[in-house]
Amino acid sequence: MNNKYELSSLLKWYSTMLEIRHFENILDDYNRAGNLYGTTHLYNGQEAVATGICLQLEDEDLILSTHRNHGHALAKGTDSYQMFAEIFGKKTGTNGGKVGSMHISDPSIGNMGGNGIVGGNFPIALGLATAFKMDHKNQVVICFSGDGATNEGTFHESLNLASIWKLPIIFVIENNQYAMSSDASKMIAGNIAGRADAYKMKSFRVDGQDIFEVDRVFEEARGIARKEPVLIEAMTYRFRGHSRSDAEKYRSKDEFLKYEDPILKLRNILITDYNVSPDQLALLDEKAYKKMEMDAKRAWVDEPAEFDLNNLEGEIYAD
Amino acid sequence: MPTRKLTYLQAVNESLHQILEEVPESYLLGEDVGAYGGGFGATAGLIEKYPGRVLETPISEAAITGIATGSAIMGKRPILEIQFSDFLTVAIDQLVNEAAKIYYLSNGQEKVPMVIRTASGSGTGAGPQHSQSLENWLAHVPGLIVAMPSNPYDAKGILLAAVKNNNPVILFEPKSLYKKPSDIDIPEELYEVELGKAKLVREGSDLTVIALGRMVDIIKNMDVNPSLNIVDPVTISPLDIQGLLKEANKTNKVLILTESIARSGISAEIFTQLYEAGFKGTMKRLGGKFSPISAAKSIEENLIPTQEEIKQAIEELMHEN
Ligand SMILES: Cc1ncc(C[n+]2csc(CCOP(=O)(O)OP(=O)(O)O)c2C)c(N)n1
Repeated sequence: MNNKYELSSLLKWYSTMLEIRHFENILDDYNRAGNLYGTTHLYNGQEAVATGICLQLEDEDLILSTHRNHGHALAKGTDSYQMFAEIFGKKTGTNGGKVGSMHISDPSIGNMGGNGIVGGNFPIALGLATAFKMDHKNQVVICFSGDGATNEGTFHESLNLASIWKLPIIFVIENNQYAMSSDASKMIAGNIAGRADAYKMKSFRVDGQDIFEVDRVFEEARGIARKEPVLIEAMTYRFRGHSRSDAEKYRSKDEFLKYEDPILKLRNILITDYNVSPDQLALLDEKAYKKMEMDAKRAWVDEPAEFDLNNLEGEIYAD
Repeated sequence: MPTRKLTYLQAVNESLHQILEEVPESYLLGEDVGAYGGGFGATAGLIEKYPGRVLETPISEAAITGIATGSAIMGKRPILEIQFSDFLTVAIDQLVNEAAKIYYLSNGQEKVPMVIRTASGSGTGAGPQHSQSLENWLAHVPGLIVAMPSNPYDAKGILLAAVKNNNPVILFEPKSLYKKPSDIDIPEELYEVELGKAKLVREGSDLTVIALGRMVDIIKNMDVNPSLNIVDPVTISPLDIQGLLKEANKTNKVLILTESIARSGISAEIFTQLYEAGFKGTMKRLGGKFSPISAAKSIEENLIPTQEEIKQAIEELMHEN
């Protein structure tokens, strides 16, 4: 059933998802050891969405993310050592260590950054895409957000504008069932994919735990986005708390059992349909872990971020 | 009256419980104010006790500010939580162009007795979009009342005063103080701390420090030589300029301390109003640097007045005539 795929691409998916998972788990270890300043929002459970999408992109295609941006950043090719350094507040971070977990960016590979303001990225996506259009570029803008963000006014303003101007944007809404403690089924009138209909925008609803589905739907969406905007609602689940300070009183501890783990799902397919040995997969797992662990260790001992207080204008304004 | 020590968060939480009990028109609304307990835990336990009067909202700051406004016109006393004061920017049209204007626009026929509580300031590594001190923005708008309680006692009492007030009141709560142990005794029962009235924090004879929010806590705990007369405006709009002037005149030397950015800020306003009110002594101000707030600990603490800078400013004032 999945034989249109080369094994090598599937293994690339697998490794990328594992790298994301381990990146987040290692961050959590540092947090539990009392070593993190500031906040973090982990992506565990949603790896198939970022991976299935970003691995189809070229460096020139742009992504915009949210507070929960580590998975998107890694899948787009942002350097994991520099990401750790950013989150640890080190000079060597992607953003000089100055802005932390919610704002990781690397424009050189098309990662236009996370965003701490829910709904803050939709209008920016319009602008990026407008520039593409003015320059007759074939690239697309991927604007990731959560379900909760679709209740901000900016979402509705942006869908309307993207639609009437036929902008090359793919809005990817990761419906992980919660916005902090808010249950999406109680907070959202209708469904998110349906909201696109109101703006005459094509939309898809996809099982975000199934990377094959994410990949297939995104490929189709990408075709459409060369002519007009499109929205993908990826149904997924946030395995961890909202942020590092979430006691998770609003959901039961075993609710996650209702959702597949996207990594285990791919693993099973690799073993049954592709004859990959569990040992080979264990090795990939170990490799991904080692890489992330080494990157974190290396970043941890780097110099703290700096800021020239005597040259504030220079730090804050472009020349 | 029996008292005990509470953290800032506990004091706000207790106040909310008691206000919902005592003021039947009051109700709470905001994102995650239910089981989650609000952005920082200030609304914990309320939805269980008052299920119909704690409204959990979608992430829609403009809309929920409008809900507070509209229901206030109808006689409710809404207490809206905006999780971080940075997100007030999303609500600002409703707040500035609607809530603040309705009393005037209606020629006094409609009132907007609403309260917004919001966590402000630096000190938690939350980064540039979650650490700003925007209180001065709102102090610039006629029709709004803006206060910044600097300790658990004021936090508890000013909330009641705000709920009883017939205008939109915005309370900036310095989130760096939320969980800090405090040595102030807090009465068990509900009480009011007056809006628009400055408070003497510590009597002293050499130099008057006018400090706001988090800076009150910092200066109080600093070890310096001259005897400091520490005063807290508590409310920044309207400013209790007569109260501040009285304290300023006691020492003839004034240092104004804010966490918010000094440039175009509230410290300049206090400085000018003191001068206009006839203060003849020397003044200095020290506020946040003109920069976004970094998430990195190595930078963040240097962006607000550091102890070193404060000491130096005090020294300079003591040696000026
Ligand atoms: C304008 C604004 N309002 C509120 C918040 C606080 N906040 C941060 S993340 C979040 C929930 C976002 O939910 P969703 O969009 O579903 O994304 P998820 O966290 O599930 O990835 C909230 C309320 C914010 N950062 N910005």
